[in-house]
Amino acid sequence: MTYYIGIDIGGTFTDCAVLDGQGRIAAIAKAPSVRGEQDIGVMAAVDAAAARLGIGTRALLAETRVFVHGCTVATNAIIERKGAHTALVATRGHQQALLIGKASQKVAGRTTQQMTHQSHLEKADPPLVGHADTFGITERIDRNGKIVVALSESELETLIASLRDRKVEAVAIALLWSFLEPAHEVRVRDRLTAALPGVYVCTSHEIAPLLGEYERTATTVANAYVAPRLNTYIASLQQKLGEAGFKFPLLLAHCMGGLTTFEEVGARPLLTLDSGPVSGVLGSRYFGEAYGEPNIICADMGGTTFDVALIENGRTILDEEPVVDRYTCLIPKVAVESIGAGGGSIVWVDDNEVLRVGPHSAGARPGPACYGHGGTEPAITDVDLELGYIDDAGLLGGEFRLDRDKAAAALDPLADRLGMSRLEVAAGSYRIVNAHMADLMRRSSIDRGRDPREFVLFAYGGAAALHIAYLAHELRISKVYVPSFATVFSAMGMLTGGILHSAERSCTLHAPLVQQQTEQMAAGLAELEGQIAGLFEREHVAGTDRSYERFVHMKYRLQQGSLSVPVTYDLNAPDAGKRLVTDFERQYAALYGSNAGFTAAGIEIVKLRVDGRGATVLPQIAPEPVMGSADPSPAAKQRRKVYFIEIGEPIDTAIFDGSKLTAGMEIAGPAVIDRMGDSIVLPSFAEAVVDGFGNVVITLRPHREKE
Amino acid sequence: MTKTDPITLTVLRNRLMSINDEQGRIASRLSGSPVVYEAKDFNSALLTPQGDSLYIGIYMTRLSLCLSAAVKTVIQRFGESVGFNDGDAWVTNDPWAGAVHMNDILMLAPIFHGKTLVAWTGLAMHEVDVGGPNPGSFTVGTPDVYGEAPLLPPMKLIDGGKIRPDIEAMVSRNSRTSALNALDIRARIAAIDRTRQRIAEVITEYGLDALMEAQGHIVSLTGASFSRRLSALPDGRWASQAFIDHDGNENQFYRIKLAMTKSGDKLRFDFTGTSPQARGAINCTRVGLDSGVFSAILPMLCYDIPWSPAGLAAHVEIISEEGTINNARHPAAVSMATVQATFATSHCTYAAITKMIACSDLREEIQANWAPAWHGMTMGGRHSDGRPFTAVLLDATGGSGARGRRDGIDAGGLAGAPAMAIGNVETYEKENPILYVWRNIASDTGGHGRTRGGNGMTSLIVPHGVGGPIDLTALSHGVSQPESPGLFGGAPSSVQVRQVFRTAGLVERFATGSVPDEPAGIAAQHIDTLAAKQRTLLQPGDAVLTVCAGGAGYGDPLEREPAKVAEDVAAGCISPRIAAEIYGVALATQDGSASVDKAATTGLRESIRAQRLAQSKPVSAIVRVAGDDRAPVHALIGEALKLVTLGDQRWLTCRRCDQPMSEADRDPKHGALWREVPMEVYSDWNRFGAKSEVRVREFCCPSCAHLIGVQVALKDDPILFDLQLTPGAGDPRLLSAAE
Repeated sequence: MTYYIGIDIGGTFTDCAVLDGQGRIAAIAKAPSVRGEQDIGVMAAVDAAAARLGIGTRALLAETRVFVHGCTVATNAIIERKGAHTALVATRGHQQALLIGKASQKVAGRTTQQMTHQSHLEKADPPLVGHADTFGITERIDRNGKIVVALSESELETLIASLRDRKVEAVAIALLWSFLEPAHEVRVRDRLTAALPGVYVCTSHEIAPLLGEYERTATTVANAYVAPRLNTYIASLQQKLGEAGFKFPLLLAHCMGGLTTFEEVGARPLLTLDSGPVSGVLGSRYFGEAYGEPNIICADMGGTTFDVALIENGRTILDEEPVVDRYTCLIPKVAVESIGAGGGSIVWVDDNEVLRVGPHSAGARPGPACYGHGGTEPAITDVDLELGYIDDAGLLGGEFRLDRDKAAAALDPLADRLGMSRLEVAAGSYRIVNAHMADLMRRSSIDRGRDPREFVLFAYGGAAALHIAYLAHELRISKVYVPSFATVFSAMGMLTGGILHSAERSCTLHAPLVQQQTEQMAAGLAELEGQIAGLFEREHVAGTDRSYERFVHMKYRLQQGSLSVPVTYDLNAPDAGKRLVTDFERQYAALYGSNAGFTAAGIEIVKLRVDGRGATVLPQIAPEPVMGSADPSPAAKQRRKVYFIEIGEPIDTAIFDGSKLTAGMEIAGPAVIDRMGDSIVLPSFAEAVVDGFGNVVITLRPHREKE
Repeated sequence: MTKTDPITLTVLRNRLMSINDEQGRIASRLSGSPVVYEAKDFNSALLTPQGDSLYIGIYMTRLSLCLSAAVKTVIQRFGESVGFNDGDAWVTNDPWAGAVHMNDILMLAPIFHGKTLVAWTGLAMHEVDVGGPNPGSFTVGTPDVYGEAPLLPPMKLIDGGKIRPDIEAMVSRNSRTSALNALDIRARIAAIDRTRQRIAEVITEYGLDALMEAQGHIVSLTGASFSRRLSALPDGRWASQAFIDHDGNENQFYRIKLAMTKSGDKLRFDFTGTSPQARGAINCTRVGLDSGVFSAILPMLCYDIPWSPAGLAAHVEIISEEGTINNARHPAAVSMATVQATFATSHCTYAAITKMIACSDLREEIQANWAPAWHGMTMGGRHSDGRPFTAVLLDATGGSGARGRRDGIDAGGLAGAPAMAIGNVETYEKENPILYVWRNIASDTGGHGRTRGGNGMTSLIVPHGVGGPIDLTALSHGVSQPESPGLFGGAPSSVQVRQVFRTAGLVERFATGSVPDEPAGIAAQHIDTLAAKQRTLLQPGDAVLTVCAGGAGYGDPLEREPAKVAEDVAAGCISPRIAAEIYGVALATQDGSASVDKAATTGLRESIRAQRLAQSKPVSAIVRVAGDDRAPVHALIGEALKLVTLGDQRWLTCRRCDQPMSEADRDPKHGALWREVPMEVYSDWNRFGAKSEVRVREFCCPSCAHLIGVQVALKDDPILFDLQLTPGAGDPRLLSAAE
């Protein structure tokens, strides 16, 4: 038997998904995450999975071909400020760029609501690199890549002495215009590497060879800050797994939506940021391909946040400048937008006697009132319980009981204050939190110039299935997929990623493009492809298994944001420049409307990028054949009273046991499917069918429009 | 009409807010102007069919009311004549029709459902250049608006969904950046189209009645929240003033005078006494005044209330005399309005509001004034290959003001524009033939205090790859005087400085591998210190220095924790001289790092207090009464004072030593001692200010010398009495012992 293991570390649990050689789910398991010692949680989750399979951990790992790991070490190091003691070397006169943070660091990554609270804004606090560890060095390169001031060798020697005195563990080197002329960064890097053995050194032209010194510096600093911890962690995990019988190199999930090796992560550890949420998106894309669904809104609702990501024409969408803590970084990351809405979101009444939900959360402790951990403020989970969506016998197959009376007691004071019934308060909160989530989904899709009706929904995470049918209804989306193991979907998603490397660099050219310029771009792209090929070589990915996609990032002159235009033809051809411009303008008009573009402003090339994929060694996830009958009655359990918005009152409702569903069963709403980790609410306008993957596919009847 | 249920109304209110938010985001993303996408000098509004703002975006709050004013102008001018229909849109940049200055091109569009007008939407965006004599369109050297960029009264740009080429050409024709302006017109159209589509979706889903009812709710709920906020604040009168130095022709001072009265749930802003309109481009029209006032109200008092000006309007009264610098009549020159009279109005309003907040329980919300003004510069000229360039340098940003419990933010940006960003050095260098020798944070530019103001920025720029001289226009204020007033004993910010180092010899120095990192290291032939507004030619061998003021300080600097002062010195935020003379902190250097010498610090602080007492004289012949440290405390007044009951009367007493200063209904400065100090005491940068005309006045407790106020004034000004609580309105409950 061959196994494939995916591991996703969350704040509370470490999830493990195991596939067998036929692409079937062999086991899923969870173990508590251990802060600071994530490998303990990883090994415990593997042990638990092995136990479910009825074999020993050694036997499982010995048979494992691929072990994919998504870790939060880098993310946590930054958020908790537990990274390496890091120094920054910058061009003299510009060393405070990181602290200045373009003045807008104070709002980076914040919601509109937070931005309006001006007195509470703060820049990165504390900064990743403090004043005492920030060094300027005399040198200067100009916008043409010409050296204006030579690098001061004597200052370089003084710098080495200071870095040694300060006992730094990592150094980020970020000089102005280094992406055009790396000579000075290279020289500083080589001297520091030679003089300071054991200190991690990285340069901005290698980490992010792109225009914009603030973001390039922030990226390089964040990278240096997380590198020592992450590299130690991965090396140690690799060793532990090796000792336990695993024979292959570990694969790591990265934020661009793919897998990579230690070879690359060792040099760009920042790539592992947020790989968990990204992996759920990959799983959705994978199933999307299996279903023939190219346009997907991925909705992940857990305890505190609701995360939305888009898949468009089968591709994930990248955020070119994601914000990490308060720092804007130049690493392309699968775009995931978040709002504070989850099972823990607090329901409250404001001074205007208006019912409100969130954005603050009860968190895991004390959690919603019904958890019985001392929470007294009502949360969305209490609302879900009150409305009958969750079985009060509890979650996780009864391992975790919920207290209905405590939920009621928490909701009652609000009801008294508003002069409403408890049920009305619960139903109102449910509608309000759904509307918040729908607003985010609408924004995410419309920001891409797309109508949500062109999409299907994938819903995962512990709380998503409770709300998803109503969200879909509000957005007029007609189809929703709820994966069979929604709660470990991210761990599974990693096993669908495949190796993906990406390389990019700044390139400034203006249309009209003459052939010499498109040839220059072709050469630049070939060079980036060469970099990736080198990496594949070191990873032993065979030449026939490699494929490349090339992109040119373009914009109207002076605009800030750019569009990534795929290049599928030979840029050495005489008409390539024209074709590129046409492609760009077509793509722009599709996104923003035909009145939005304005050719006369001039069109500019800003960046070249190549994605390289190594053919996946992972198995295709296989559906079970659909043999059984459509009749769901074998899965029926005791009916209970459930409230549905469109009905307006609690009604006696059919309830099904998720663990007894078999492929082919059809369930018509109103109904609820109680599963191990979540419940699926099926309103009266919804119908569900269980497919061969064990996924529940919900179809919504067309909307009745007002007026 | 059936009444919509409250839950649906809540859902709709949020939805409408997010529609307006999205409109702003799209416009800023698609704009080609760094003034918009980076500095966020634009705003978006969703308005009622009558043109009142339901929501404005979080971008430039100094544009808060202009879209409403412009829609009302369009309704008034076109409503009865050509009318407006679905798919129409208007543009204007006329400050007597709703714009704040000509650089802001406003687009306004009615939204219809069938034949029913259901809302208006609008976008204001600052364009890099809209014509007129100076590149960048801020005009130096004109007495009136006829010498400035052309006014575009409201014109129908889009007629039933079709762009009118004549009007489109008119909008961009006079500009040095016409292609860019045209691209931005398209960005506005794309954003407004999106809003139309989204409002249509709302109507399809919830019906027209629900949409209209939700609009009413936004107004009434915002009004109710604002009313509660105001009612919880003490009643009284707070005064402030702001100065604008230089009108673009003559270097003289203009004053904005404000008396703010708060009574119950009403705020009244009285600008009577403000200087007559200037013969120069610093004026703003009435809409600039109103927007300036609201730009302070929104972030200071509505930090947790929706930014819905229509909901706030009933609680705010603004009194002003027409013909003054912030309520100018045609044909006053107004091209600098946003960064001059409107900004100063906003600044002045902040000062009054924060004094009121400092007298209340909202301690976490105290913010001394942020940096006083954009210390701006525009450039025009040619690259070495002959291509022209026009640049607005928006990276001259200040610090934020000291807060109740925390310092201000270094390089924190400008107040009332939370999302504002400054461009990268590489971005400016890519587009323009200049090279930044340095761009860092400038020490001693923020105001000192128990909590200090954030420092501003400094840069040194040299021409690099130019084909001839650069036509440079400096526009700023607060160059002659420290313009961010300290709060309750905190010090004012520094002045702003701009100097041209003529024939600075830097290119030669670069060749020898040397780069200066402070002005003292530059051997120029001579140095021109520029006035607040000045046009000059920057020759290829020259260098231009910019130093921006920071935010103001809060509370007597002698009360600052000495360890924090040592940290500030180590980080280069303040100079050792300031640590000793202003903060009274003695530093001992050991093993290369400075630490606080506690005994010497105590001695230094006592000697500074003794000096204050020795040099100060009483403000008035007030009769002193004895203090009582057990007197019941009703309220804390900033870091300076307490409101207590002594005998059967309310008094304001020194927070440090309990010395009674004045009866509660009088300005406590009546019981203080005062002295004038040279402004360069506070910062070496201040030596470039107008030392002979500007006075800094310190007011302290006659018993312990605790600073209760620091004021910047012109030399013959009377003392500004700026605090007067309304008798009996002070919170009667006693503060808990914990306070």
